[in-house]
Amino acid sequence: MTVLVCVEDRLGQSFHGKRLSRDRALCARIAAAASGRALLRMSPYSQPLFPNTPLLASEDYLDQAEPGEWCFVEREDLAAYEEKIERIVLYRWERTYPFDQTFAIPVQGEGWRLVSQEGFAGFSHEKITEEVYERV
Amino acid sequence: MYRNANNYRPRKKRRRQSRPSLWQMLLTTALMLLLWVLFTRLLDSLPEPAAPDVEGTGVSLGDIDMAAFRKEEPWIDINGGVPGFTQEERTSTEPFETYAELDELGRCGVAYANICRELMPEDEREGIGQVKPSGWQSVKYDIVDGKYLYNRCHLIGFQLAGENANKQNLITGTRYLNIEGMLPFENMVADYVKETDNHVLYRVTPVYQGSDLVAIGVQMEGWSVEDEGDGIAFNVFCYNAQPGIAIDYATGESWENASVGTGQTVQTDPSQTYQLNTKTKKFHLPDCSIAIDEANRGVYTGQRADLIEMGYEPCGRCKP
Repeated sequence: MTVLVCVEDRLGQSFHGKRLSRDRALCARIAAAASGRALLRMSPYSQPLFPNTPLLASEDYLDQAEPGEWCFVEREDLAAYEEKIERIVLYRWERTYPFDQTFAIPVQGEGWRLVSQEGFAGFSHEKITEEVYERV
Repeated sequence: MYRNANNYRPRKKRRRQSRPSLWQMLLTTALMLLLWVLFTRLLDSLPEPAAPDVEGTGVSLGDIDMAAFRKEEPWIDINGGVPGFTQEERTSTEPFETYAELDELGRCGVAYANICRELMPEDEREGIGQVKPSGWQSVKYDIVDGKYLYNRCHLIGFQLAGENANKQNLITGTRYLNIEGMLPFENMVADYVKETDNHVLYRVTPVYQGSDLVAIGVQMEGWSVEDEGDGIAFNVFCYNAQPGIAIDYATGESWENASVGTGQTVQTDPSQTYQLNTKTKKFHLPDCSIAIDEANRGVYTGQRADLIEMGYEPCGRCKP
C-alpha cells in the first residue's frame, strides 16, 4: 500500500489525537491523483476532508488495505504496518505545530529513498512540500 | 365570616406562648453548634474545587516545577489539556480581543480573544522595539538561537490579531518560549481559522511568582467554537526558560547554567564582582564604604557560593 501522511517541520503527525492542520487544496490534489488509479482508504475521522470523493472509510482501513491501494493516514501509528508499506508520500506543512505523536517510519534511513520532491501552494498554507519515498 | 347554625363563631385556637427556659436555649445552641461542626466536616470531605485540576500529566498551574524543565518538552498539559472556558463562552462567535491593564509592577495580565478572519492582520508587522516589558534586559549568549536571550513575546501573536506595539500584549520571554513554546500553537490556530473561517477562543495568561518581573511561563488555552473543540482544544503551560541559561525571574538577570533544560536544574548564583580583603577574609560589594588597605585588596568575579567555599565571609555592612 501507499501511505499519504501530513507532517510538520519536526515530523510531528498529531496532537491530542487530532490532526495538526488541514488544507482543502491538498485534499483536492490527493483526490485527483488517486482518481482512476487506486482505491483511496482512510478512517471515518478523515472522510469529511474529502467531500464528493470516491473512497472507503473504516476504522481498520490499514488492516484492510491491499497492495497498490492508497491510505490517507492522520492519527494512526504506522510502525506496526511498515512491512506492508510499498510507498510513502509525505506532505510537509512547512510550519511548526505542537505534536505528541511523530511519523514513525525512518524515511531518512537505509530502507527508503526519496524519488521526488515538489512544492505547491495550499489554500491556507503558503507552501506544502510533497515528498515521495520508495523502498530501496 | 363563617357562622354555624347556632350562630357560633369558631374561636381561633390560641397557641399558648411561653418564654424558653435557660435549658431550652442552651440545648438549641448546642444543637446548632453540632450541626455547624457536621456541616464543616462534610465540606472538608468534598474534593477541592476546580483549581486548575490534575488530569493527564498530573500537573496543575500551582505546582509548576521549573527545575524539572526539559528542553525536549517546551510545554506541558494543564488540566489534561482541557481549556477552562465556560459553556457560554464556548458558543460565542462574537469577535473580540481584550488585554488586561498592566499591574502596579508594570506586568501584563490576561490576553483573551475570539480569533477569526476579521481580527487577523492584512498589513505587514510593524516595529515593537520601543516597548520595554517588565524585567526587560537586552542580553546575548552564543548558545541562544539568534544570540538574544529575550524577545518581546506577544501574548496573542501578531498573525492572530495583528497587534503591534501593544504594551499590554508583550512580555519579556525567552527565544525558546517564543519559538519552541508559543509559536506552534499560534500557527495551528492561525491555519485552522484560515482554512475553516471558524472562530477560536484563545486565552494567554502570563504566570508570575510573587512580585517577579518576568513570568515563569504562560498558560495558553484554545477552543474552536463552531465544531465544539473538534479542530482545536488545548490547555498548556509553556516554560519561559532557555536551555543552558538560568534566569532570576525577580529581575530578569541571567547567567549560563548547563543544567537548565536537563530536567534536573542545579541552582547556581549569578556571576558578580566583589572586593576582597585578603587579610580579614571578608568580601564586599564594589561600592562598600569600608576602606580596604591597598596591600590587602583583591577583586573577584564569580559566584558568591564559590567565594564562601574559599573561606571568605560576607561584609556585615554592605551585606554582599
